[in-house]
Amino acid sequence: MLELSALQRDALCEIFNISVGQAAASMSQIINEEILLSVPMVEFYSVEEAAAYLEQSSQRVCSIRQSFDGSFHGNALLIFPEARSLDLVRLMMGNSLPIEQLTELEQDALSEIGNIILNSCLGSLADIFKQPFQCGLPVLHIGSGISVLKECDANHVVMVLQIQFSLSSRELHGHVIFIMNANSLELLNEAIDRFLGTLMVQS
Amino acid sequence: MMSNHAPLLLFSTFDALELGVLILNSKGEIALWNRWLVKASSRHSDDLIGLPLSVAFPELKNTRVEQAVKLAIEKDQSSFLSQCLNRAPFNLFRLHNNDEVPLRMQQQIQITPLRQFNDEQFCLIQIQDVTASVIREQILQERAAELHRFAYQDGLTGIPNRRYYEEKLAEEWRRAVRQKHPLSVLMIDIDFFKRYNDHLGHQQGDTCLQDIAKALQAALRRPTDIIARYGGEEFIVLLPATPMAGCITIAEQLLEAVRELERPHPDSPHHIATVSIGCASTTPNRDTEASVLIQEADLALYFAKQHGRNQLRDSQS
Repeated sequence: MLELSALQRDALCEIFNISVGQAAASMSQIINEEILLSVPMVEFYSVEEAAAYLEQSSQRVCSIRQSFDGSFHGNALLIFPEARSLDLVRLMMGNSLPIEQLTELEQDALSEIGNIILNSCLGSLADIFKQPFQCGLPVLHIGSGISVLKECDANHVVMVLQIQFSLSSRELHGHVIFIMNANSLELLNEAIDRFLGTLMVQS
Repeated sequence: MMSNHAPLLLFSTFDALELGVLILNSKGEIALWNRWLVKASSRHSDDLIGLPLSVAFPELKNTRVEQAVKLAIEKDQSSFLSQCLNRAPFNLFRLHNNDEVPLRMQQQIQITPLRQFNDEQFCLIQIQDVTASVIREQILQERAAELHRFAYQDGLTGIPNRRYYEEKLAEEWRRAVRQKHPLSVLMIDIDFFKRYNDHLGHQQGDTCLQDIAKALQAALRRPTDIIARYGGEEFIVLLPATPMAGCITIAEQLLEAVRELERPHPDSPHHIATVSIGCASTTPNRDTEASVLIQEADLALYFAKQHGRNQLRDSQS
């Protein structure tokens, strides 16, 4: 898989931290309470490796998927263990329903949370590549961890960001996953270098 | 033939849709909107064409709708606005509403880029009426809360049941260990309750239980104090962050609260309904067990009964 230098990795992390920071600001504004988001880690996997990574936990996951299309195309997903998705949406809405499943309106709220985070991450990706991506509407799905990858080709590339939420003195962990067609990997490598280059010139 | 009619057909379809459709041009001005939205907003259809969105609908200023339109036009991104996180952004009201006061419509909104005509970027806003879902979920929430309440409530007296008390005991025990605070319990039993039942019947017995439960609950002033029905005519009180001295004071108040009911008891030496109370207190640590505290309170209650009832005993005397 794509081997990133420490510098490249730090730069990617930093870029995504800025974008999720903006997402956190819009979410805080919506619920009138401070939410912090951070991306502590970025990794690249092959579809096979990603499947192994996602299979580690047998828990059901809640995923919010958005497609994107530009010089390359793919899907961006926000993923949580199902129980955490319940915690997140109820913490955000400030109620503690004694119901163990997400209601229809709670699923909509989660779709919106995913939409805000994924749009900000895709915005960063567009900045790195200096071109816009057409992004679709969010689609929510609850199922096994591995079902997240069901529509990928074997030669797709998977970029995994860990994402950490802090709100109401609780910490929640999830992942943002980009699944891209294979020729995007080289493009990405070049784009990161170019992006780093412009950063160097600026500083 | 068909292709000639298609634009007209599309236009009638657009107006017949059961959802609100609003199309903005690349400057964010209203290019088109459908009849559903005209009706729901009670605005005239020609008034708004060509106006910027925030002029036509001033209520949208600084909302996520405004940000989402910008994302669609400038960045080609789609946005989804849920009803939970965006309370009715547009001033829209329910179309078919028989109530006198018009009902504000709960909305779910999708905002997507629309590339058309010489690459000009348009923006499509779709608004769905989800008021019915919101009402349905409110009912569901109330039912769930009610079921939850019933699961922890004693059916006869209305105070918490033993299951509630057991969960609270475990919780308060852990808290007391963590904070190194004392924790006290009172075990309360109605004196000569069997005789009361035998003389006056079970219906009177039930009212007696209800009245005493109410009196005990009312006498507990701190919101952290917990009373529950423990068994037949037995109650238990959990007093967090309370040492033995405080526990005894509260027990005395409870004895008095029951006496003040002055409920006649035909077969009691006290002539009124009374209770006996066993008090126990401890400062829990990781090596002690809650069951020991309950046993101590039980034993103290036994001594209170032995010494003539209508009194309290503590586990240290």
